[in-house]
Amino acid sequence: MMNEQFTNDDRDEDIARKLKDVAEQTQANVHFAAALEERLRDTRTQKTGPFTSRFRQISPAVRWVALMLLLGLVLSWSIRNLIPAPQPAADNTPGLPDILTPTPEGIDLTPTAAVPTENGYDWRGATLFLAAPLPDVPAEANVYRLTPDQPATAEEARFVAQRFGIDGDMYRAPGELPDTTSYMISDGRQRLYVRSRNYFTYYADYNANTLLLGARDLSEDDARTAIDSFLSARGFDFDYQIEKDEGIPGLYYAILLMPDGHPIHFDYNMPSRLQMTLGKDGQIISVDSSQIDYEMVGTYGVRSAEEAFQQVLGNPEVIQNGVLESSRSGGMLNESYWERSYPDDKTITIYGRVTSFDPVDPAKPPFVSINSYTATGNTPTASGDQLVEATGQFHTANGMRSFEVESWKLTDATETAVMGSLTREGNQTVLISDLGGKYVIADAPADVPLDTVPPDEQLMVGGFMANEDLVWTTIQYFPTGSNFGGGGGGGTGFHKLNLSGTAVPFSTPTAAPESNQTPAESPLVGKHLEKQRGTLTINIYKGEDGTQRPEFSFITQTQEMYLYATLENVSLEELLPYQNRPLDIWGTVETADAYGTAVISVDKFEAPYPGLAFQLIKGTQKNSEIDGNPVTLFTAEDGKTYVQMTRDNGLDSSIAGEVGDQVLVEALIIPDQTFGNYPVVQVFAIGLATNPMNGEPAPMTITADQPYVMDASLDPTTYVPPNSTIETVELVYYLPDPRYATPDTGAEPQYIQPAWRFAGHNSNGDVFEILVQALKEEYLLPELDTYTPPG
Amino acid sequence: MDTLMARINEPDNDEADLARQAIADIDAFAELYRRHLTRVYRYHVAHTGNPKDAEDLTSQTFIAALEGIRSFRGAGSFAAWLMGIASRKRLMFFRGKKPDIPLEEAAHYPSSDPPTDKAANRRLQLASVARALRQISPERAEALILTYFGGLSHAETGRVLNKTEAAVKMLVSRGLQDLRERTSLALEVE
Repeated sequence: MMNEQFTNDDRDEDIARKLKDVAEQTQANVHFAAALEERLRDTRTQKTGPFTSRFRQISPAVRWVALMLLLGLVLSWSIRNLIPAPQPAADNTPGLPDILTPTPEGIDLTPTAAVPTENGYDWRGATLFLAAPLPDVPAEANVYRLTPDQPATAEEARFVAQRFGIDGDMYRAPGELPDTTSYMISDGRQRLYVRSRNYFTYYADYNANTLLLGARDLSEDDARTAIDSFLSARGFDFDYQIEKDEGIPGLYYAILLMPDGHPIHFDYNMPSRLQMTLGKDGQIISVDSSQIDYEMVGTYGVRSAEEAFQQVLGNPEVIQNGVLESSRSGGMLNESYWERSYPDDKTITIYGRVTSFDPVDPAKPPFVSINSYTATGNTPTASGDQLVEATGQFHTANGMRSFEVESWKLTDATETAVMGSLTREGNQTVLISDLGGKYVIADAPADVPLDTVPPDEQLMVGGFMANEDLVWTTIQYFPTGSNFGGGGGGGTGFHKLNLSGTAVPFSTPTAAPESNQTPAESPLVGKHLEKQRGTLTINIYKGEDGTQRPEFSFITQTQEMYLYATLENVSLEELLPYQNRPLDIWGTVETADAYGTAVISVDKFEAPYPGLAFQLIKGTQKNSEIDGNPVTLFTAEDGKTYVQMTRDNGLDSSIAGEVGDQVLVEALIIPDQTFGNYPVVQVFAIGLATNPMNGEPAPMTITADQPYVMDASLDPTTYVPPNSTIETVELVYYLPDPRYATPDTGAEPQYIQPAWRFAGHNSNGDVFEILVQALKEEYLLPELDTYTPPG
Repeated sequence: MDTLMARINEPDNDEADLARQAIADIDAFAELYRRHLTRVYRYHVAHTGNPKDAEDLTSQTFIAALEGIRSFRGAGSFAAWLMGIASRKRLMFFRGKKPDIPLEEAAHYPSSDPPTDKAANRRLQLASVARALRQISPERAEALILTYFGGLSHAETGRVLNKTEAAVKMLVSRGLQDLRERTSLALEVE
């Protein structure tokens, strides 16, 4: 199915091949893939307990809300980022622009007077609080020119290795940049990758830290002492300041300071730094260096912090230039991780990916790894990216650990990640997957959480699936409230610099583009419905202040159409008895909302089956086929057999547990509804009738007759963006992260320029950063610089 | 249990049936998900240049596909229908002109892969291609990405872009020419 070729030039075919090669190397993270599949299943199903392996179809309205929440977040993001800021006046006077967002009453906007008040600033539909003073200085700052990085020679790589005290052999590793070579030096315990004098990565004990898990409970003083001592002992004598990463345990930055004491910042809230992970013993377990070389260009006037803050406040009438924004959510602070450990001097079998490095000295053998373990012994045909099943022993000598291979073979095992709950069965730890699978977790750590309850808690076991066995390597636990994270940014980028000495006039502010957020059209608008039968679903959005907003959803399907709509001119009291049950309505599709959802104005409604009630029914399931359709037949304890359908009348061919297990369903049986001569049971919830963990009967209660009550924050119509608090205002030196810049002989010089940095938190916990270009307008060109993302 | 990645690239001749089953059967949808995850992820990562945004967009694409599976009529391929959703999600995402998150910041999911060397090289190659694609006309870049990263045929790409197959071939050809003449990508293949 891959594309046909259509190129006129051999050189284009080379480009095409490059695209294809890069595409084929690109794979989604297996953990992400597993998590998303789980999430999709959760979107369709509702869980009632750890022993319930497959559950009812959830309300489409709930699914809709989840989608709308996502859309709302994206829209909020977009809207925020489209909100512009004032431009400097056309006469090059770097004073405050004429058009300013109205400021809160009582706040004096003279420099340094924009102090926080209880009310803050109206900002992007929320409130912005300024909780840091606006500095009065500096009035001038430097501009530097980045010195392009040069790939390391073998001698330079050796020099870096000596700094870390690594006296080991040197190997060639594929360079980070195309057609370049990096060097890997290892003494069997420490490992160092060197791309250049500025860019290198060091691991204190590569074999011992697959996941580089940092310490969670280090004091700031201890961390600072460890970092200072580590850097000093290795001859790193540059000026730096230490910051702790907020999202990753044990991760610290030694941020480079320029000669005037201001730090260097790249994009996305990342400084130029030595990035260090401190392990549980408080010692450095890895260092990732991204430093820069530069030369002085000159000293120039900068706008005040107050002016920059006014640009942050923004103005909806103009596009915001000279600004870069980023935000990040989530992090790994709440999560727990376990790596599998293996005993020394005992023959075992492991699965893993082989990596091989060629030696710089041809007389030496190649360096071979299986996953993160140094491999020795019988590795005659090692080549990269092979997945092998290897038998051998771990040995530790002089503090160095390696895996001595007795034999290995290519394997059909696949990398996998399984979500579920761990439990004990006798002396074994067993993973019961959310899909009903059961796997023995050999040598499970004693402190892994047992009997976790999804979806509030999530537990994921990573490893290899080999012959139906799960050979685990990692376990991740996400407790209630964990945030898988995310991030984003905005702003339109910085202007190009004009260091010619002759100011270039800026044009008048450019009008912001019209938002694309117009209400979506629906071809059904105007359609009249006459006794249209569908299913009613009621959602109630509950606010913190106790307010409630009911939403009535109606799903109907005919041969001509599938309609998802919301109902108007109805009340909660009159419709509550029909929640999740059939309803006939008369009315007209009056309009569609911004997302294309039809809105029906109801003239009249009737319940076709008054008194229709939900039931709890015990029975068994089996797969079958009716008219070519795969179905699940449910046989109740009274011997009556039904075809299973979802709550919106779709065929449900899923099975809870194994075929034949006794299950309990929360169901609705609509009179006269049949499929293939079988009566139909609509299943709203299903679970095993017996808890497989303890053999006890599994309780289930009827809940489908009640409205879905959700936090108002999930209400797409009332989404309110979080408030923001600026906690840091400082002058920094900015340049796009040069680490991943590809060589370009025609590239313009990259400048390191001053920027005002406003950083803080949103009320939802997100971290944000806003960089405002600080050079006065006379040193800028109207043209925006091409923004080169760091990725 | 089925492993996740093993069946991603299975043929799609039964996909219209599978999509119909997916209306009521989450397992059928999961099968479609496994088959098409890679193409959707690759499409988004080529546009965004970073895994984290690509994962977010991939999630949004499949959630929307799950919501809208009934609207797939089987007139074209499921892949083209799905990539149309991916394209719309991507457009919404980029309204805010998001700069990218550095690749190294995307490490929310631990990996047992060696943390540098080959993986880093792959990241760099991808970043380089993504950057080059942003330097040519968006329409041509979209045609290239749908074709090479989304793995669509020219006809399928045309369905997503609402263009004829011949027009897509021309977009792809011109796009490759642009990449060669206007970006540094050519330096990397010489």
